[in-house]
Amino acid sequence: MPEPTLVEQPKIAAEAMFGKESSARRRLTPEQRAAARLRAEVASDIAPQQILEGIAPHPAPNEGQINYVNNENTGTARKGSEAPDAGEKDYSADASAETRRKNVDRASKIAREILDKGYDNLTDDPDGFTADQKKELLVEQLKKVAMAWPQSRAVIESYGADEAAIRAKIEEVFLRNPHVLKQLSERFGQLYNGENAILKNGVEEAQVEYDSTAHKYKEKEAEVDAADKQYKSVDKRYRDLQPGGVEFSNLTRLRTESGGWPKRSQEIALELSRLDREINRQEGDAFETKTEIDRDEHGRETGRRNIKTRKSDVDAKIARAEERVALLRGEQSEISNKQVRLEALEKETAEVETKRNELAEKKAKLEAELANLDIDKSVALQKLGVQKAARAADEERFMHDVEGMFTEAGMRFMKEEVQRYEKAQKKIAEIEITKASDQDEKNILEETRRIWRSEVPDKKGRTKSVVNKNTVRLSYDRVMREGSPASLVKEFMSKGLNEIRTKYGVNSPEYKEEQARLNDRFNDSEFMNKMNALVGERLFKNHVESGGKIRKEDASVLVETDWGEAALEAGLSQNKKVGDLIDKLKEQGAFQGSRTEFLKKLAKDPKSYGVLAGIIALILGAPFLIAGAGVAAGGYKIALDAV
Amino acid sequence: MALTGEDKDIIYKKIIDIIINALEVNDIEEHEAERIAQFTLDGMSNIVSESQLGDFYDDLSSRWEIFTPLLKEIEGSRREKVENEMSEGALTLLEHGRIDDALKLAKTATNNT
Repeated sequence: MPEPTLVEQPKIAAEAMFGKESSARRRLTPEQRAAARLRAEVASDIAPQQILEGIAPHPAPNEGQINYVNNENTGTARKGSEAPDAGEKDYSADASAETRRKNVDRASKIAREILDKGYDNLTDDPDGFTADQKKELLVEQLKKVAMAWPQSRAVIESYGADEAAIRAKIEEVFLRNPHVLKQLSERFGQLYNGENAILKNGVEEAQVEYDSTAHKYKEKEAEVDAADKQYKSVDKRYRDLQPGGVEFSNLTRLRTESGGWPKRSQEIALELSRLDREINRQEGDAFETKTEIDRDEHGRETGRRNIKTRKSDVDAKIARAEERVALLRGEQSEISNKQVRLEALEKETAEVETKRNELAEKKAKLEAELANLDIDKSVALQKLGVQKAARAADEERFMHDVEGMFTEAGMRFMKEEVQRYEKAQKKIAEIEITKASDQDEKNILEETRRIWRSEVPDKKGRTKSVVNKNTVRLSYDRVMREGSPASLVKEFMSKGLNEIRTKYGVNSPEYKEEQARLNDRFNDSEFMNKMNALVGERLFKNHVESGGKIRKEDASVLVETDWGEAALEAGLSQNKKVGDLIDKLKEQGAFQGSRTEFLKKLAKDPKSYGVLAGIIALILGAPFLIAGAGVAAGGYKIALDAV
Repeated sequence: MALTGEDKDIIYKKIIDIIINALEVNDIEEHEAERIAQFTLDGMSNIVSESQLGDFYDDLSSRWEIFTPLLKEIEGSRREKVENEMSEGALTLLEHGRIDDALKLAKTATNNT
């Protein structure tokens, strides 16, 4: 088989690391994948009961529950009783709720589908959302998770712009990983099955309260309008009767006139009495005259004429008196009418004023009640607004939670892995120090632990070892600048010398003896190479764990120096998975010689830098993102076995 | 004999191994593994003695055949225990010259097994 060209080698390497392994995994049945996960858990020394609890039915909700929760948790308006689908959610007036509904439907269906069928068997949806689009969405979400953790970011970044390799890695490590799917199932269950799965809905209650208050307000408003109309009508009459009003001049006139009415009535009565008497007398005269005329019928013409003339006078007097009587009676009647009119107006003035006051009081009372109802309505509206805002915020959060289930599952998986790794680091360091037979080596190991790592309690009160990013960065830059960790090694070994100097002084025999001993060791190239490799390997590990990048020149330093090569060999001995993959490449004819020869070959070709940096990150980095499920979980176990 | 937490861990481990092996060869489906796990957790929570464990294994293997070896294992262990007790009893009887009784006991042991 011809040896692959340098251009082909990175591709082969990448395939070996990510591609072919992925294809092999794809052929596993879900049962076999579950078995692999369980084996990894057993290998990770997880308590058996806990493993069984992990196998027990996943809490992911069923389709009915998903639909129910999605329906309840998006939008609050429901269709009225007249609608054919009465009671169903009505999104016609709330576009944002409809969007939330669509988003949670889509995310929850993808989650259910990936749990049911697996990532590789996702299918196109009838609504046009394709399997490829789903995968794109999932890869993007999980890539964010990988980039959020320094340990995995280092690996992802080392691929540079090789999006296909990044995608393959994300799919392998997260989307086909039963551990992550289990986390997804748990998160899914938390969101859909928990006691608080259904969001509190205060909107409907607040809406009922507001509608009731608004109805009362409307009723009261109608009462106020009616009272106002009534008041205005009475008020108009009241104003007519008040100074300046159209009726007031009449009233004033009548009041003024009324002062003369008693005297005038008396005068009229007297005059009528007098006229009555006069008419009686004139009628008596007229009777006598008529008698005289009758007696003198045969009398003299002249006498008769005179008598007749006198009678005419009497009749005329009577007629005048009667005319006067009629006039006076008319005046008397007019006074009487005016009196009635005045009394009526006076009475009306008093009554209208009373009525007006009553109506004003009633109107004021109703207006006050309306004002109170207006406040109630405003408060109810405000409450409704608060409830709507709270509900919208809750729905928004629910939507983000549902859409973020995949990210959350990935984050939980990474968190567990990192915690497991950090706990193991403490054990590894202790074992290494115990096992080191050489005191100088012990000192170096202790110093690397003291300077580059800190022991902190975890949530359960146990201790884990976390990396000190800043001190690692300083040491890493120093080693890369100097091209070797030798000065660091000397510094770590000199800790005892410094203590002797403090205790006995620089001229003391103890100090000189220790100085001479150290110089001998510094000149022992075999020992120094071993220690440089040891420190170099620890430094790279911590560098990758703290999120540090492996630059091209760093990779070159590592593969081209004895200590770097030894560090890589040491790393490979602890990372069997990567070692096996490189060996497989060798079997395929990708290179000849030692494993590090392959890396040296990659270093010579600028195009293969991404793969080289990726492999170095895998070899010397924390056991994160090493192809496939279970490996990461068991990574620390491999490391523990190796020390 | 009362079961300790460590005993239970050993039992859980045996059950897990059987589940893994069965999954690997597709003898059981994933949902069956889930049911087995739930059944085991529920059942084991109440078990405090070895005799109860026997009943549990009996129940487990009657539901899923893959656990028959566990039942046989505990039955074998029980038989061995009975035989040991019988042998010791028979020896004691022999020591006291009660040969007939010793033979009867030995026969009982044989019938029992």
